[in-house]
Amino acid sequence: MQINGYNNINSFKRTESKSIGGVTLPKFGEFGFNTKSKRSMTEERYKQAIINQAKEDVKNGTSQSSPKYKKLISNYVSSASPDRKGIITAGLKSIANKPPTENLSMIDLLFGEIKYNKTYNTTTYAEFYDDNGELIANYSNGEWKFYETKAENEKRGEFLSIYNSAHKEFRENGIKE
Amino acid sequence: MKTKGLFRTIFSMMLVSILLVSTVTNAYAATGSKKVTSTGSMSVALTKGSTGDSSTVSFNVSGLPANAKITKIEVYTGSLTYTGAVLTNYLTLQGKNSGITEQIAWNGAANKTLTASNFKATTANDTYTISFNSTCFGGEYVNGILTNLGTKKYTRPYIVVYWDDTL
Repeated sequence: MQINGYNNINSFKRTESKSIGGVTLPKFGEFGFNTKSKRSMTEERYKQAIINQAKEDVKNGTSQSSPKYKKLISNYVSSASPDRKGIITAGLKSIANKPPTENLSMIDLLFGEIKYNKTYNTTTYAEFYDDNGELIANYSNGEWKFYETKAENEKRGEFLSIYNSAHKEFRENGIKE
Repeated sequence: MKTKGLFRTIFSMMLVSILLVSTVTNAYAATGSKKVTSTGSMSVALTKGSTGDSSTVSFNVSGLPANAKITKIEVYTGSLTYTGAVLTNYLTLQGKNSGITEQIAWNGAANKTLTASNFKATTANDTYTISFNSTCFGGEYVNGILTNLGTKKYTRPYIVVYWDDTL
């Protein structure tokens, strides 16, 4: 059990109203809360969309910060994301059916595993792993954190490489309409 | 006289070369690092057998060139105080604008410098937060009685952001 008054959490709170076993679910798909999704464009169209975004950001004097940029990079990276929504939902349902535990306990899922603490009927802590054994999320002090996997980080690197090169090119050589 | 003139010419050419190199360096290569400190602390209180995240410490990195990108982030963990037996599992670094959350291996040693690797090429100006994850294996003794509560606290951590605006 965590002593919440002492821990005084102040991180980025993003939850939605649905809950399982008393735990409010995160907003899947929101920026920084990626879950596996199908690509909505071909590789070539993505590349063009990234370059267009860089052009727009240079025009507006911004870099990597507009809502449109965040939506595009989330969409691009999520094709490499694990099924966080599936693993978290299945995990919380499994915990809900278990009795309270004094120590950190583990449940094997079909595509991953979870470790959790449960006091009385409340899940106080849970961590979620994908089938590669990578930590993909945890729930602590009523807050969610989504950890980036190696595959997601590689995908982000691809995106940033295209975006930053284009941004630099437009900055230094101007935009030719 | 001729030798003196030749020397002056060579010296002038060398001076011009040095100035050219300096100019090129200033115009095209801007890199640097910024240390951001905090008077805050990451702390956690856990009952025996439980695991959880600590409180967070925030670092607002601003004032760097708009196009400065991260090449490396180092986290200095700060000094440690604790009661009972609380094992540190890892450190978490989050970037608000980048949307990245990274788990960094750490055995809980105080005054340690940890390196994040997932933030490369993201915008350096951002709000970063750190926290740690830990498990309590035993409480502290109070007046000779073993309690089931353990605590851990890291004070005055800081981060160093390494950046490059030529990326």
